[in-house]
Amino acid sequence: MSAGKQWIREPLLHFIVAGAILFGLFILNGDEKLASDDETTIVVDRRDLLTFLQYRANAFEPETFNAALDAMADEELQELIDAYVDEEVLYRESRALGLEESDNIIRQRMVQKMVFIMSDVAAMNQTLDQAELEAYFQDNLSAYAVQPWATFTHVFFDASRRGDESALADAETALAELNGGGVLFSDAPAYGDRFPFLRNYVERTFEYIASHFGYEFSTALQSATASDNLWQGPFPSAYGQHLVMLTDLQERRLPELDEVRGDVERDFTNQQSADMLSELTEAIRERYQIVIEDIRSQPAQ
Amino acid sequence: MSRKFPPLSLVLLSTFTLCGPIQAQERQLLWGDTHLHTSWSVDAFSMGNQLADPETAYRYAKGEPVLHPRLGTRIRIDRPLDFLVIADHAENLRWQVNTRESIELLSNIAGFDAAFALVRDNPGQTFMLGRSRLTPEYDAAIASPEVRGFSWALQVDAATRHNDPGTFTALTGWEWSSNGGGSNLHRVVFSPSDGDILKQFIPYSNAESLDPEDLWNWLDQAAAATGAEFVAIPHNSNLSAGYMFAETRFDGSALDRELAEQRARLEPVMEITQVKGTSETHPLLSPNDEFADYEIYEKLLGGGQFQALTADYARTALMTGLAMEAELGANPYRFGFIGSSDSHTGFSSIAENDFYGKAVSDTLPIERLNRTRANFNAWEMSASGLAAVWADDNTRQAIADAFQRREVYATSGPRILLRVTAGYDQDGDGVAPGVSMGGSLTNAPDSRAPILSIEAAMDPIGARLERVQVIKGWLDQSGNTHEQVFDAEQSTGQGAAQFQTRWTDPEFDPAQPAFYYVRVLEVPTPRHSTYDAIALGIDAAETQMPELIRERAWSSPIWYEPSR
Repeated sequence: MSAGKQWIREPLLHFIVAGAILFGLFILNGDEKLASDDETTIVVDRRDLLTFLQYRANAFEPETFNAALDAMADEELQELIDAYVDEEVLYRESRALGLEESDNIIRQRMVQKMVFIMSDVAAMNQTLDQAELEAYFQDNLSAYAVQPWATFTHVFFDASRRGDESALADAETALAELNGGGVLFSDAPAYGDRFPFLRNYVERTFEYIASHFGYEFSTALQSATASDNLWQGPFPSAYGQHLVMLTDLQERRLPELDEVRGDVERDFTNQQSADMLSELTEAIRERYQIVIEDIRSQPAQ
Repeated sequence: MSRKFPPLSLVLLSTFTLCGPIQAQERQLLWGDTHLHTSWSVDAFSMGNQLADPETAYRYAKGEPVLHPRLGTRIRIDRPLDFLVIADHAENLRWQVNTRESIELLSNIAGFDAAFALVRDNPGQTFMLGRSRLTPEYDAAIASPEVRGFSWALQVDAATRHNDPGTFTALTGWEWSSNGGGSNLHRVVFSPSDGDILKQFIPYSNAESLDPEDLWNWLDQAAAATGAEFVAIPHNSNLSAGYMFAETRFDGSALDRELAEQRARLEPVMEITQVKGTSETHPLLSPNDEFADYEIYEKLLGGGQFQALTADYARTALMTGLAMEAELGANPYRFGFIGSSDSHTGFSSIAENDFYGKAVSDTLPIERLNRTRANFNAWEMSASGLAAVWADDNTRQAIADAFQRREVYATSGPRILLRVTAGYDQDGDGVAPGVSMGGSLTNAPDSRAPILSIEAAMDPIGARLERVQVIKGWLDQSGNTHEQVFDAEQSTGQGAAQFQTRWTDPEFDPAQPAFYYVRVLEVPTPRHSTYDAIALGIDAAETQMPELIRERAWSSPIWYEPSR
């Protein structure tokens, strides 16, 4: 048996810890009970019932519940007492059996509450140093990139309706005619088939475009050249062929800090909190003696 | 410059005509999730999500790269959403102290002050040997109206900060998580109203009541007092143990007309699919529907024996609604459908090949191998669903209006486009302008059957479409309800990119109240558990889940009401 396990299993220590906890209870609770609980005595007082009521309602308003308690008829009060006592005896039995020790839900909930408190303390100690913020921004610059977008209209040749080959051939024929005829952006609705999504796309990101046309189309469009009098294509989509007038194309761009300062500040402080939480945990760990046994050579029982 | 196109080519090119339904390109199709949990939901936190807060969730939905709380690397959505409702549990809403101001505010509450002081003044202290205890003051502080109001205001502010009309709509909401009677009666509530209105109340939680009627009354009162508008969305009726769409009230007594109208008004839409399964129907309830067995989940949240009950599924509830309307003069179950994720990771991830699980503790394939859990086993979860909205604009109000019209639909994840309208034949002059999905038809001229105009297009980065089906439910003259599934279109071979079709009810009886909704099926594709099996190098059969699924879209119904 390791020294660490011995430490945890030391009865004298248990006694000291339990005593300290009980002592702490009395200190925080202030006024003491008139009669005292022991292992097999349950003393029910007004405060127990108030706490029980409030936890049960998941609302903590002492005045409201004091009044509610006062308003209870004898029968109702007895029901409340019975419910409290039922819970208390089962809780005590469960603890006597040590049922909390290997209960992962209880364990996780307790860890969670500890993390909540520590996170709040970490947040309390935060500072926003401009030089550090700038450095953080530079280190994570690509996360703040302004996504590329495009503005275009299109004429659609529906493969479901015309067939794959005809859709392509029709689009190729039409391309020459659209360019030869000087057909404008705003005239596009007069041509082609009805597209299930939109006719015009204004400053839309390529993810948005892909969600209407598919990746093949959005990738092809991204490498096209912007021009406000040229029809380009045909570009294939999931549905057929498209002739496109791409009037504006914004490339991916890295922003200045001021454009995204709010986001960067939140990310930076979150990162700081997470770091401080790790430091606090580390500091607590240092107070413990951690003994790691020879894990690899001992097969599990 | 503007010259007319040569007439011959015009004829060649414009062979498209107005075959599409009305409003063809007037309303835009928006994609979103109305049911996302972040680290501020206590259960999300305890399942490993300690970092993905509302801020992270909105930014992920908008397409920004964000840190994954478990992986520690940045992840990015493949296609941004158009709107998002963050619906953290109203119960024990997590407070977030991230500014000095908020610390000062909370320090006035005794339980917090003690907690802060304890940790702040004893850095690295082990409380094992100390003699300080925090409870019950600390727990009381967490649940106090001050702290709940504070947390709620931070949620409202996060939505305000990310709401970008025309581009991305951030909606404020919460989940009311009632498990009354051992059943799942959960509702997501969202509001399109402005932040200063929303901050006038604290969201209604299950601590106030487990009875949905109390929630509706609270919503009506809060609306009257503050001017807020609400949409309530029931979810996981599949786990409601016969309660969600029952023929009686929660307390077992009979419904009246007023209550039926209130419910239909406040709950215009239900969530038909999500991570904990699909609630369209159950194979035992719809034995003649060969595609009814889809992402069925049968583990009640509170334990207990699952039974497939008519009150638990959308199709049977719609049928119940027809019968109740005949009796009460109002239909409590006149609802449309949406899908949403109910993800607790902070990430709306619903693609089979890009699924981060219901919980952060299920991020990696190796973690999903754990099948010892009583509930929420990772592979039994469904990478689903998505809310599709036909809106006038991408704004809070336009989205809420679409929900009120029920001009919304559900998918199991893929972005399948679906337009459905219904009208009557005009003596061979085409179909008269009718109603869109979510609406009602009445007064069939000369007893003519309604005609559904259906347009479906595959997800352009997903799988092709296999078939379009119309599901009809009706009430006969003896007061019995019936259902039938019709194939309106079916592809041969590889599936179709698009379907455009008109469907006429071959068994129409103008005296019978009825509803029609459209279901579009994709060709079979791998389920998320199959991708995991590949990643883990095991046989897909070991996941004990279907290897392939037919992902799908469900339109909101259109009702036919005989004239009285």
